[in-house]
Amino acid sequence: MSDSNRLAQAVARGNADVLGVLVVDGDGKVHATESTSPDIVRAAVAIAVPLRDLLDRSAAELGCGELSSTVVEGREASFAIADVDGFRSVVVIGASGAAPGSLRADSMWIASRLRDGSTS
Amino acid sequence: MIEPGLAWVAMTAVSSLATGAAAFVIGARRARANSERGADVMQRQLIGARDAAERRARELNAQNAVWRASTLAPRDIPGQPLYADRMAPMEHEALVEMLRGLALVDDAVIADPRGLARTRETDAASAALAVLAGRVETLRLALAKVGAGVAEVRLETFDAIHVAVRLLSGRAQGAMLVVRSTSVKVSPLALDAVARVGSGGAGEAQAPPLSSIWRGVTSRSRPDAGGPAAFFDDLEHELLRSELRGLVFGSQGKLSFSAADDGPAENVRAAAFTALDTFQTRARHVLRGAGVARVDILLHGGGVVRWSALVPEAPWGLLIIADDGTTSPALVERLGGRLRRSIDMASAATAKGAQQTINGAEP
Repeated sequence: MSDSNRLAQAVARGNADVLGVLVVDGDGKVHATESTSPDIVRAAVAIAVPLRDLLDRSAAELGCGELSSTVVEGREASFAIADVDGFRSVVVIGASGAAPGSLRADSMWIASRLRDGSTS
Repeated sequence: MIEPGLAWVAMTAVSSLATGAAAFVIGARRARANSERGADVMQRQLIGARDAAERRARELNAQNAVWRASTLAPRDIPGQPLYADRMAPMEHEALVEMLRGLALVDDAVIADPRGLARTRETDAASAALAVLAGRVETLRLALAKVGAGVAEVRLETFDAIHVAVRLLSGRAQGAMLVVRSTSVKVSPLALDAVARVGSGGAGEAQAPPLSSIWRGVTSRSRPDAGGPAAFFDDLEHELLRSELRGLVFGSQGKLSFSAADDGPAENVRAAAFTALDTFQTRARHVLRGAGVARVDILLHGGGVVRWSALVPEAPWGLLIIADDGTTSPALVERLGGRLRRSIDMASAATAKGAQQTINGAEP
């Protein structure tokens, strides 16, 4: 099992706040996925690459520098995206009512561990 | 032809003028040399004074740095608030910088109830601190349903991480100050000072009193009849001896023992225990597996609720409810130690009985 999968499992399993976690790169290749709702994760894979591209360009155009993380808050639920190495992204999709901050913290934690090359 | 006498007079006059000019030049040079010498002396004195002043300034800066590392006094507080009714981001930053400068503080953030930081995050651990604020909000809402207003939550993990979450008021209403330290707790006085600055001087006086449903009930119950009798005797004894208002023991939200002496009703005790049990489970997840050893909740109106895990690997939790200032964390530790020994003895007795049964069943 890859490091990405272990980290995704560590965050998603037994966590009622999280519907799914995926790690996807700029070419659309999925490095890890862990979900209780496969349909939502399939949709997330489809939008992850163009969304990341849009966020990268927005951050650069507005003088924010390289993208680090972001949270999209919906009226029902939220999801968070964190950058790993400028190419890979971690997407954490929240269940209804989940605190946006916890989703962002989870995505940042996975990204940080992947950067460090540690799964412990 | 020039008369000899006239020539002599002329020569005398010329020589006098030459002598006078020479004397003037020599005098001027001496005066200039004297003034240059005086200027040198003055310059040396000035350089000496400047060096002494710089040395003194360095010493004062060093003293100031030591002072800043241990007190909040010399911090720059934003003088003129940008907004009248709420805090601006730069004011949030100024508040947490007051605490980040303290030697024993590892990190500090101000977060909103959704678990998002309003201040700069230094790393992923800072984001986790902000998430704890969201978990405290859930706990606050659960306890508010049974008439308790949470003022501050402190937790300690088994690996000696201390986190204090203070609910801010006034201009910072809705925000929470979260401070992490290792091995030692952050002084409540430092949190008080920062919270007071954050509130704009308002706050504590507006806090509601503790609801009357937290007083006046004396009852005992053992929803889970199993377990060693000595174990529950210990709990009963401690409840009376230590002037506790209430005492609950159980695991994973399930109560094994619940009692009160002029304290809250059983449904209030059960709600508090369940809320704390859920909170510590969620906090363990946020802190990435570091088990929560103890949670202390200060309530508005002078109450205190303390939750303590008996052992790191088991879900047993002990909750006490008391008036603020009447109990110490040491009491929970002492009682927890006695309960641990009771559990160990009961487990050993059970194991011995099972072994005897097995031996007796053998042909």
